[in-house]
Formats: sequence, structure tokens, C-alpha cells
Amino acid sequence: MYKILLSFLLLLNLQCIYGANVLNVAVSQNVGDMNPQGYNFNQMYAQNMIYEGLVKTDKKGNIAPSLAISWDIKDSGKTYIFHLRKNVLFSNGEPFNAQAVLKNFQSILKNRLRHSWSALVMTIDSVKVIDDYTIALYLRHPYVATLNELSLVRPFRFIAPSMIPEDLDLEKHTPKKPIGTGPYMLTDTKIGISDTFSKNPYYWDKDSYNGIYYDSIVTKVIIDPNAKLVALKTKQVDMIYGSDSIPIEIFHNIAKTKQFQTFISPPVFTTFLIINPSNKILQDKRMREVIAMSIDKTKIIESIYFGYQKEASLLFSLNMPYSKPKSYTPPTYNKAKAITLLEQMGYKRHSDGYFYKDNVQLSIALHFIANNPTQKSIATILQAQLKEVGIFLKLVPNEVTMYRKYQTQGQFDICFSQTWGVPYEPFTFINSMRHIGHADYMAQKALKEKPEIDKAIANLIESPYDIYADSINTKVNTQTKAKLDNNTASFLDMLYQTQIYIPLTYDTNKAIARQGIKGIAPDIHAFEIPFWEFYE
Amino acid sequence: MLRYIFYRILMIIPILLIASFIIFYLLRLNNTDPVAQYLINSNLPSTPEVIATVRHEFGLDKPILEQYILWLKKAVVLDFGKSYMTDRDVWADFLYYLPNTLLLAFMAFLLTLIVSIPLGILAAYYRDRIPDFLIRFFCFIGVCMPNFWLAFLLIMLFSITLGWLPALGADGVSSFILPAISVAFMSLCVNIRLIRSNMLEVSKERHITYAYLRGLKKGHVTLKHIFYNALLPLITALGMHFGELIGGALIIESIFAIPGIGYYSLQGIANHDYPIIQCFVLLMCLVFSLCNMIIDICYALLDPRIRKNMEDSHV
Repeated sequence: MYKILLSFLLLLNLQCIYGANVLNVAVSQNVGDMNPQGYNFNQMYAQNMIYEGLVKTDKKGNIAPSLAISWDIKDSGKTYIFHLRKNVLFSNGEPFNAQAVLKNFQSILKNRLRHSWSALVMTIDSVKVIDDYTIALYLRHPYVATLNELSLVRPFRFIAPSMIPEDLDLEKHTPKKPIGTGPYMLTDTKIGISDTFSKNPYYWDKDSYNGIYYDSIVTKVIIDPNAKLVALKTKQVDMIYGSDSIPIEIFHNIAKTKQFQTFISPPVFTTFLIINPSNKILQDKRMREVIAMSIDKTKIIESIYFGYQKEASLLFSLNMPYSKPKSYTPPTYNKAKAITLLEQMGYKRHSDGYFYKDNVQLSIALHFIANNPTQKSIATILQAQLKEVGIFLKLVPNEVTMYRKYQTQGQFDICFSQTWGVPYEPFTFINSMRHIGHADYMAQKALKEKPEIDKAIANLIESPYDIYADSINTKVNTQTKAKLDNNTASFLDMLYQTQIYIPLTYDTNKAIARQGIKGIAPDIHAFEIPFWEFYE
Repeated sequence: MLRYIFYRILMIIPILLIASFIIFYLLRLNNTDPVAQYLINSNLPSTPEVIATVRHEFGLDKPILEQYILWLKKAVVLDFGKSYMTDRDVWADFLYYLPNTLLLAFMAFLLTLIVSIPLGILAAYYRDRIPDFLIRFFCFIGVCMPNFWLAFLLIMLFSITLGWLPALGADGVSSFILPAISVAFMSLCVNIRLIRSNMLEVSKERHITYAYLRGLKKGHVTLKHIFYNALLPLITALGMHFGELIGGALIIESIFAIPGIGYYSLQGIANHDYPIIQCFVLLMCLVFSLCNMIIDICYALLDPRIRKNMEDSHV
């Protein structure tokens, strides 16, 4: 009898093991120590699986409730009162409440300098518990992107209070265990091999996803993109997700075969050129317009992106919130007009095909990252296109850290850059334009309009818009939302008219999966993978 | 002899010291910046405050000589610091990754020996006949073919088409077969040609003619007299090959997703992670120095003339 019972239990156990739904995904590196406030090797998609914040952004980039079910904005945007979700447990069974939120905020504010890139961190004055499920955030001044930054994957996500060290310093000490309230929990890490996530048994929102299909997500570390594809073909992985994991050529070849499912997201961010007007030639706005009119973006889209990405006309894609300018019309490809403008500016074309002024060739340098094949290819195309209108584009390849240094020190004529995607766009990104350390700042610095731009940014960012003044369950204050819409549109007009930005393409996220996996729909979030939505 | 070995081991210490000093300075003088890389990897902007904080955390705000002395003090007790990017202990990670790389290098080395020696002897034995032509053609292909390309061809055939061997990972010895072939192929082809040419050289010596005149069989002369005397240059080559095999593993481990030193170091190099690069270069110096030392000792063991010279010069 004892043996029969043991065999039955063994069978049951085996069934549990073999009956589990496991999704194997190819990734480029381990997920890191899963510090909710950690950067670098802490992979954002994994932090997003484990930790949740007060709010999140929905698939269109709008703010949606997460661990806070509603909020009130008071004192002209200087006080945020969050009403927390009840009956939420961390994956170790600890209760989530206002004290947990407070301890996490105290830990974040302990390292304000490390998180100083976030204007919100520098704006928070204090955090107070009002009752067990209500918490108040007091700001030094109103900050329009408060809710957007609270929705970021880091640092405003919550770890179980018992995992926070006594000195609250999660920079000096890694968390004892990565315990969050999110749909998955990290159960195993094999360095250089894989990380395994299991379903969080206490996840509060599992019913929204039919209980979540995949019991385990195994992320396998495979650096080489071709090796990732081999792993997919040999069934060692089921999915490759993320544009950084899949070079566009591989994606294109796979899409043609129909052997696997391929997915493309809507635009997640914008690749653009920044023109630095500190160069004497580029000080003239007409010259910046000439460069914009000389670029035929359709050629770039066809030859480099195989048509998988769309041509960008504006810095912020129109599918993002608050991205529409008021009346600005971007310059379009017009070679003849560009040449006429150059002639009007006093340039004369010589027999070598290039324009000259005072016997000096019209020459501009384009900096790019040497080991970035996409940038290299675009640079070569741009050089050929600008040659057609008589401008010599000198290509300057750089090692990646040198490139960053030149950008942040403003040592460039033209360089590549990218926007940051949702939820950074547009307000956090716009706010960064006021700070040293950003290529935008360095390029704008040379504009005579810079003081006006900074003033407009301050006005936009620090004005007491109470767009989310009502709780999420009631209607957004349409009057103030319209005001913010209008002010943002006016600001974008002002920014775009400086002609220092030449948007090239709206980048998309990509995924390849074996047949049979459903629910894959990459959205506008560049750094998140919603494994809980996938099923078979 | 023991005194000689002891002397050679002692000589490794200044070599490592000089190498560590050079790599430490070169890394810091080449204008690349681990702080910028850290910020890029973290999706963080390079604001002056953040740069200063991270630079201080990495200890890069001190004078280079002070940084070197601090690093050296710890390195002598095998504390190579923490990775800038992962914040993990570098030496512990090296020890974690080392077995896979050693297994791969050992298998590749074994393959080089097992394949190159018989084929080299055969090619010499059948000089300018069909087996020799076939082996030389095989070597010609092997020397021309980059190891990463061979790796993909092998994966295509044995993993994707036939499904016989795993394409990725380090689960058991079978996972190392294709990587070992990829790493070893060029070395073994070079070795075959080396053995063949050495044996043909030795076969022109007078003592070989005497051996034939004494009525010894061709096979016996080939193995006992020609091959044995052709071994010395081969030992030099094999010693160098072992270092090459570890170097070759850099790329091959990435292609086959083997968590080894190559995978770890490549990441370290790509991220300008100085503690990892310093440890890796020092380890490679040690490997090459040890290989050289072992070669010299083998020389002495095999050739009494060299042994005598060595002992005389180090009395």
C-alpha cells in the first residue's frame, strides 16, 4: 500500500514537472541581481516582470493604475495623494501597503544623486503615510511628468520591505532576494547560461490573463544573433524578442521563410540626426534646412530597414501622447530647392561637384558609432545624397564611449541620436534638453533661441497642470488636458522650427517566435516584454 | 634540471608584473571610458553629477599610479576586484567560467594531437602520392577557413540538418564536439603540414640512410627514427597551439553559447570592464608563459644536448 501511494505521488510529481508550460527565450545576457533601483546589467524587461509601481502606462502610452487604484493632485500639482490597491501581496507573502511604499521611496531618495537623471527624484520633497492604504507625495514644485516617471521600470518600483537593507541603501547592497508584486518571480540564475522565472502565486491581476499560461519563463543567454537564430531553429528556444536581439537582416530573412511567426511593434522611438549650430556653417538656419531637404529618407528605409520601419517626419511619433505640433510642417526631400538655397546663400558650385564659398569647400562632419552597422550604412547613404546637392559630408567613425563623450561635450557637427520612448516621451525627454550631458542641450546651446526654449520647457514642465486631477475612475480634467496639449504643441513648433533635428526613422520592436505561441503583440514599450500575455 | 625549472618559474613573476603594468596603463590611456559605457548600458544620460559619482565608485578618480598600486596589492592575493558592469567578483567569475574553457581547449588539443600526428606521418610516408595529395588539400582548406565560419557550417550540418549534436550550450561532452572541431581545425591542419615537412627534412639525414642500409623496415624507420627526431619543432608548435586554442575559444564560445572565459572576456572587452580585461590579459600571459616553460622543459627532456646546455648555463 505504501509503495502504491509513493508511486502515485511520484507520478503526480512527474506530471507536475512535465505538464508545466515553459517558454524559452533567447537573450543576450543574464538579468542581473534584480535590484529594483539598479541600472546596467539589471535587465529592464526582467525588472518589469518582478516589480510593479504605483502606476503604469497602457499600450497607447497613457497612464493607467497599477498598485495605486486612484490618485488626487492638490496644491497646484505639488501634492499627489495615491490610494493603494488592497489585498496585494509580495511574492513571499508580505503585504503591500503604504509602509512598504514609504520604505521603498526612502531607499530611492537615499541615493538621489544616482537617480538624478530623473527630474522627479530631484523634485520630491517628502513622502508621508496617510493611512494603511494612502500615501502622499510632496513635490518642491509642480512637475508635469510625475506620473510618467512613476511608471518607469526603475527606480520607482517596489520590493518587499523585508528585502531592503537596514541602512535603506540599495546602491551599496543588493537586495537579499528580488521579491516584488509582479506576475513572475526570479527562481534560478545560472551565470552565463540562463535565468528562470516562475509565476508569482500571489499575483493580484492574474485573472486578467486567464491565470497566466506560462508557468516558467527561461531566458537563455546567447550573445551571437546568428546563434540565437540557430537556437530557434533547433528548438532550444521558442522566441527572440527585442530589436537589440535581432538584427534587421536576420528578421527580414526569417520573415520571408514563414517558418516562424514574426512581429513588428508600432514606433517605439525615433532615430534622428542632431545638427550642432556651434559650427559656423551650420549657424545659418537655411543651411540646416538645406541638409534636411537633401536627405531622401525613403532610400534609407528601403535599403537599410527593408521597409520594416517608417520614415520619420517629426521628432516624436504621432502615436505617442502629446506629440502633435501646432502648425509646423517639416521640410521634405527637394534637391532642386536645396541647391537654389545654397546659391542664394552665396555658395558657388565648382567642377568637382561641391559648393564653395571664399574658396573653402562646403564640408560638414557626421559622427557615428564605428561598430554600429546601421549607423555606418546610413552615414554612407547620407554622404552620397549630400554629395548630389554639393555638400561634402565627412564621415567620422567613433568608438561608442568616445562618441558619447563627443556628444555630451558638443564636439560634433551632426550626429545620430534616439528619443527614449514611452513613458519618457515627450516630457522627460524634453526636460532633459535643459541639462548638460545631453547632445540636445549641447546642440541647442548654440542657438540664439536657447533662453526662450529653456523658458518654454520650464513653463511646460513646471506648470501646475492637473491633467490627472481626478481619480482614474472618473474623467480626466479635459480643460487642463487641452491646455497641456496646446502648450506642448506650441513648444514643439518652437523646437522643430530651429531645424536642428532631422528625424530619420521611427524604430520598431521586433519579435520572432515559433508557430503556436499566441498573444504576442509588441507595443510601444521598448523595454518591456509582456510574457504574462502569451499563451498557446 | 630542478634548479632550471625553479629559475623559469621565478622568471614568470617579472613577466606578469611588466604585463600587468603595461595593460593597466594602456587601458587608461586609450581614451575609451568605462563610466560612459556603464551609463550607456544603463540607459542613463551622462550628466556631470552621475559621471562623477560613478567614476568615484569605480576608483577611476585617483591618479593612475595609485590605482595600479591599489589593484596590485589585491591582485597578488588573487583579488581582481569587482566587475564595473555586474558588480560581481572577477576572480570568482573566472573560476566559474574556467572549467568550460579548459575542457574546450583540452578537447581541441587532444583532437589536434589525435588527428595531426597520424595524418602528418601518413603524408610524409606517402610523399607525393594520392594520400599525401588528399591530406595536403585537406590542410589547405583547413588553413584557409576561419573558425567562426566553420562553426556555422558544422552547426548547419550536424545540428540543424542532421540533428545529431547540440548546437548550443555546455550540457555534457557532446556539446563540446562541434566547438572543439571548430577551434582545433586550423591548428591541426598547420600541425599536419609541420609534421610532414619536419619528417621529410629528417628523412634526408644520413642516419636515416644508414638505418635503411642496416635493413630496417620503412615503417619502423618512419616511426622510430624519423618521427622521433621530427618531434622537437612540433612541441614548440603544440605549446603555441594551446594558447591559440584558448584564444580561439573567444569567438567560438560566443557562437556555441558556451559559458567560458571567452564569453566572459568578450563581454568585459566590449564593456571596457577594466577589472575583467586586466585579469584576462594576466591569465593569458600566465598561460603563454607556462606553455613556453613546459616546451623548454620538454626540449630538455627529449634532447640531452639541450639539457646539458641548460644545466651549464644555470649552474
